[in-house]
Amino acid sequence: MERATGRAEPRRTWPVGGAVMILLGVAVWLYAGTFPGLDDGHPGPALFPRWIAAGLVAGGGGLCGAWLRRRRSGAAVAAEGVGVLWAGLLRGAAGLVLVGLYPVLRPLLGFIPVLSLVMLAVGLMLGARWPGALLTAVAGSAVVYVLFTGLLGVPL
Amino acid sequence: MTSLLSWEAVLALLLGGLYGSLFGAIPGLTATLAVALFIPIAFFLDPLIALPAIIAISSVAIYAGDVGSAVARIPGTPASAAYVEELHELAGRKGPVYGLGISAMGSAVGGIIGTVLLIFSATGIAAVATRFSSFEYFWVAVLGLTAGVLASGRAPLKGFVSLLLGLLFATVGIDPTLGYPRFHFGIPDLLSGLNYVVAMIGLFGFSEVLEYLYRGGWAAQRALPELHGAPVRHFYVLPLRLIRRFPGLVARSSLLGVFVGFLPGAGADVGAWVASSVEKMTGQHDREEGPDRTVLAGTSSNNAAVASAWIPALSLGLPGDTVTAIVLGVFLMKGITPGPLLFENDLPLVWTLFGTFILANVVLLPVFGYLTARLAARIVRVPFPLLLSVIAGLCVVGAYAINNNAFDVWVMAGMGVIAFLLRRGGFPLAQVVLGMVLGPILEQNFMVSAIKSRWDLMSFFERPMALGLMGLTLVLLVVGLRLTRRLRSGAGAPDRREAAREGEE
Repeated sequence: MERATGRAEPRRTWPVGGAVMILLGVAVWLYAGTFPGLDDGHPGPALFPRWIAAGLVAGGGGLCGAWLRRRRSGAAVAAEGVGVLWAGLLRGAAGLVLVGLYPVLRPLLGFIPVLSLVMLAVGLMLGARWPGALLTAVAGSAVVYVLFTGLLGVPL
Repeated sequence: MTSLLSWEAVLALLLGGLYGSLFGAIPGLTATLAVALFIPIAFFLDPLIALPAIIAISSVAIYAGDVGSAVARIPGTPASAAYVEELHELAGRKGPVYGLGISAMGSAVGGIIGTVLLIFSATGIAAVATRFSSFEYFWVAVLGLTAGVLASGRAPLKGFVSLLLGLLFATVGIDPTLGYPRFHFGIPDLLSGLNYVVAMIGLFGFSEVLEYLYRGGWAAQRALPELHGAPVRHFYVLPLRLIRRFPGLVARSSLLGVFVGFLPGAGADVGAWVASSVEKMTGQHDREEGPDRTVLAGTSSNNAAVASAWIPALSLGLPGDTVTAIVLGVFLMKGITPGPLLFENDLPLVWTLFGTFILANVVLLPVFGYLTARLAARIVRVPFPLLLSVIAGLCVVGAYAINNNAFDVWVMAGMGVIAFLLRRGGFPLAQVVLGMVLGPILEQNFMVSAIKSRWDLMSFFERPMALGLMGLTLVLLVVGLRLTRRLRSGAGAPDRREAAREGEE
């Protein structure tokens, strides 16, 4: 768990985030190199992505640099945010899989059953009790269906 | 004007307001979609009824976009995303009725200022807009991005990185200038780009669900914001007192909204971003009332922009935003030609539109605003795990409903994961949306300017208005960086918002 430090000192998430941004920037730069240039030799569709890539590398470098400067100056570097809640990750992954399966299951099972399933599972994983979660899931799905398709004319 | 007093017109305004409030409050359903779906009905209505109904829909929908922000940190419309963190925090600290009261009253006052300017200077302001070329638009986008980065508080570097991610997402799909498909990885659905409303649902809504799934059920049992005190006092009296205490802030934000709103293609979304970013940046020292002021700035700006977006539409026939683009279609459908002659040939219609704007801001927003705020106050009493399960469902449905495309649900989920990781790393999310909104404007106007000046980049500094905007950007940058430095060096006290958010964890 992260604690409130109330300080803007670089944390260990800074170098991790910085390194990810540098890698992303390099990847974008290289990928944008496959875009064609303009006929007159000027940069074409690659120009803007390459600006962004350069910015990501600079921003990522800045984050890493700020963290290093802080370490060298001997200031405390907060260690929070590095612990991982594995059970939490599993719950998050399960929620993600359910939402990801919605477009696949909806044509097979129908809108209300599939949306109810998503809502029920999320409610239960968050600690809601069975009856309340089931009622909310079924009633919520039905209300959403009537609201969108009946009243607002938005097809689902 | 007299047609506004007919029972048909009053009914159209009331139903339009109700319809707009529903669309605005539901994530994924935007004011634009509400107006677009109203067109088949508008086709059969008299223009003196249809056009006021459209004004009522768009004005109330922009306000109602704040309901999701206050209750669940999910902005209902892109304009609400500009100050979602502040409004959610405010609703948590002082109750949703107060937060939405600031939003409704700020919207009403901003809308009235925008309407007054619309009435007295429609043709004059439109003349300025016509002098804006791609160079000026480029600098307007740069100004918005600069303000957005500086508004990210004591860690502008993280705001900068978030903004770049947003700009990167905006490059997915067909290049807006040259038509070359980028970053689609062979997936046809990516050719049309990432819809920023879908992204917004994932970034703010689904990431919240993931965050609580990660932290576990105990975290979801948190105390929820409730109504403290008399609702009328919280919705009307306190926000109006706040407006009376900060008239300069409301005037500045409304004028910024008017300025951005009348630029064709900008509209309420960009208006809200610019005004709330400027306020966040200049008001960083004010920790106690900072969120109140930021919400006030954003809401007064976005509804001012709703009105001023009609200035180029009425006087020049150019859409100020997507809603007025649809409205121009309605004009043509009804055989009305917008432009300077409209003010001579169809004066009753013009005055009806002006009157509707005044009515929408003076009557509809306070009435529907109050009703939706009371509803929001009831919603937050629902046990949080159940509320989160409904939010998860609405994220899925909202993302799907925008284009009736299953792929959008996966995009929404992917954005949720990215936002979850960004939140873990302490990166702000609002700047991602800002990058997605302003990215295409920035790129298109840069490329068009560069190509038409044959890559003579000095041409970006030659036009007086472009130079003025560049100067404004530089002033903003210098002042913003000085403020940030002063905050870092002087502030031993914790940033209350940051501490509160982290304290929850």
